[in-house]
Amino acid sequence: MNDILICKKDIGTFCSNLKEQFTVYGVKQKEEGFYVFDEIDEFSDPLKDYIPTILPPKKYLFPQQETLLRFDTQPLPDVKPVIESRKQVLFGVRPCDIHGISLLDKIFTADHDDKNYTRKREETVIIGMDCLEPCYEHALCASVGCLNVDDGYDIMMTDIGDYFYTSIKTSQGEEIVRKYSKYTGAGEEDRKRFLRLRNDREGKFENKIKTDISNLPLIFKNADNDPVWDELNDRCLGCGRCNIVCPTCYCFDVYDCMDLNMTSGERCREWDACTLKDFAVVSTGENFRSTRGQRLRHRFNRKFNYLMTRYNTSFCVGCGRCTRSCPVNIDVVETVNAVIKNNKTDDK
Amino acid sequence: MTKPRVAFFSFTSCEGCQLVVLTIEEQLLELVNLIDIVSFREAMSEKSEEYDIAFVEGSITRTSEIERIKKIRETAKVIIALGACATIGGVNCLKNQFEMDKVKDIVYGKMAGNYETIPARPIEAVIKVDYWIQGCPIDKDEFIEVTKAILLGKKPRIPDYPVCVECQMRENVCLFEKGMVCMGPVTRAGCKAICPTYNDGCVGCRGLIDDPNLSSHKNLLSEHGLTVDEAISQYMLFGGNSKEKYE
Repeated sequence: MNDILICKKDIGTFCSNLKEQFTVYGVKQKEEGFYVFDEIDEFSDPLKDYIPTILPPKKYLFPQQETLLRFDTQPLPDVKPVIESRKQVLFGVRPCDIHGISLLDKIFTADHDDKNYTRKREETVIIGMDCLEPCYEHALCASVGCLNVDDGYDIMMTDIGDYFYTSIKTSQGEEIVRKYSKYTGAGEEDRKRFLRLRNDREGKFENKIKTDISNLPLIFKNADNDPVWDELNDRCLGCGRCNIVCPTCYCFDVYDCMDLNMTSGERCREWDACTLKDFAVVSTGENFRSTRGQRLRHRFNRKFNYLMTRYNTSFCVGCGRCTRSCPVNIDVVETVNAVIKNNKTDDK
Repeated sequence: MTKPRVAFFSFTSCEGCQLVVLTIEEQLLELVNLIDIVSFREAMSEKSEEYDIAFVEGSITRTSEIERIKKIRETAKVIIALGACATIGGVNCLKNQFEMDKVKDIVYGKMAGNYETIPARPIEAVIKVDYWIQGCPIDKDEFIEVTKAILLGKKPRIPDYPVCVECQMRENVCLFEKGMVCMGPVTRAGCKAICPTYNDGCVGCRGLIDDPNLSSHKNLLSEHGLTVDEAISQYMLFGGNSKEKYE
């Protein structure tokens, strides 16, 4: 389908029509300056200036807690998988979060299909909202190659004034636009305006990382003994917020919860966080990463070295949520740049 | 299988944690299928000196309580400290900052001579404790979790991470970002961050996590305008018994 225009005043109807078939999640202001993804009833003003939500929209694909199976021990042992999923639309997802979801797609299908994730993902329609201006000072999307997004969404909208310039990526996207939205075809003038705005944004997003990011895995590999980890060891509270707000953190803990009848129960999973003390404790009580500095170093390596090496892409998508949420101002850009400065190998 | 006999005991406390046990309502009915409650003065008149499991609320603040708790330890196979007074000493330890005679004078005035008091302490300071249910008051889900774990012979799933984890999972706006102060970063989770969720700073009623970064948290409090004394008093409200850790 060719690019189309959706008039801003028709967005509300589009959203309420979508509710015939989907649960629709969009961005709401929780408190002054703080946004969350939540179920939307009325789509009033199509928010355009929102900064990254407190939690990324991954919570609708990989929730904080979820049941994996229910079991019964009486009269005979019996286990039933539980996969909770429903048709849903994520409306207004920014490019950084679309990248985040695309990376989770890789992770949750890497060794085997994680059905609890993939089933939800199959039933999810993503309507993106492109960024023309940096949203806030913590964003580093352009620095990690996540400002431009060309996959991982069904529909992408760009604010070009009275209209959203809308590109359709998938047949599902096309189907819902045709079925639920008013639109007109985009003309040559509209397309020029769209391209000009896209072009204008290039200079606005600063590259904050002081090296080509492809150098980062090697730099981090050699930075295990960098003094920056000692400094962060003193400062980090070990509170786990950076993990919890991260669009690409996917670690979880699995536990069984018996019902009070003591015969049946469920197996659940819950988000875990590698900056927490117990994360790397094994059954003998040994803790492989017993200090906060070691744990934070591990977290940075996950984003810029281990997973980046395995998947050949940065696992930081540049949303800046970790920096914003850190109570003691540990800044992802400052930290990466400090590591680069201390461990710079010859640039290739 | 015979049901284990369970008793509840009160030491120096408001008995609010036992009241929480009574609020589990429909689950209480399921629970009494698994256990035999033989002493529980807040819920029943019967009493028994024979029990396997003892839930103990309150801290130790009189010499007579030392003898009493030791006797409970001799009888019970399993002892659970119930709530902040029993687990960490709680608000009762505020008095430990003063001379005991002065405390008695303030509370009892000219009747002070009729009373005996000692610095408040958690029950663990006197007897061996097997399980801890933190909080002021306790969280009822955690009470059920620990009870089930005891019956199953499993280790209960008690967080050793800060309140921030639960607070952030609930997508709360951090109180520090709103210019308030909070004990969340050093306090053991398990309360579902109930206070910050309702816009009130955590006061640390569940005690410190095992490895808190106290110096960084104190810096954070001072950056948010607290003097050293004010920061210490944040810790002292519930943590008077482990004062040496943060002074």
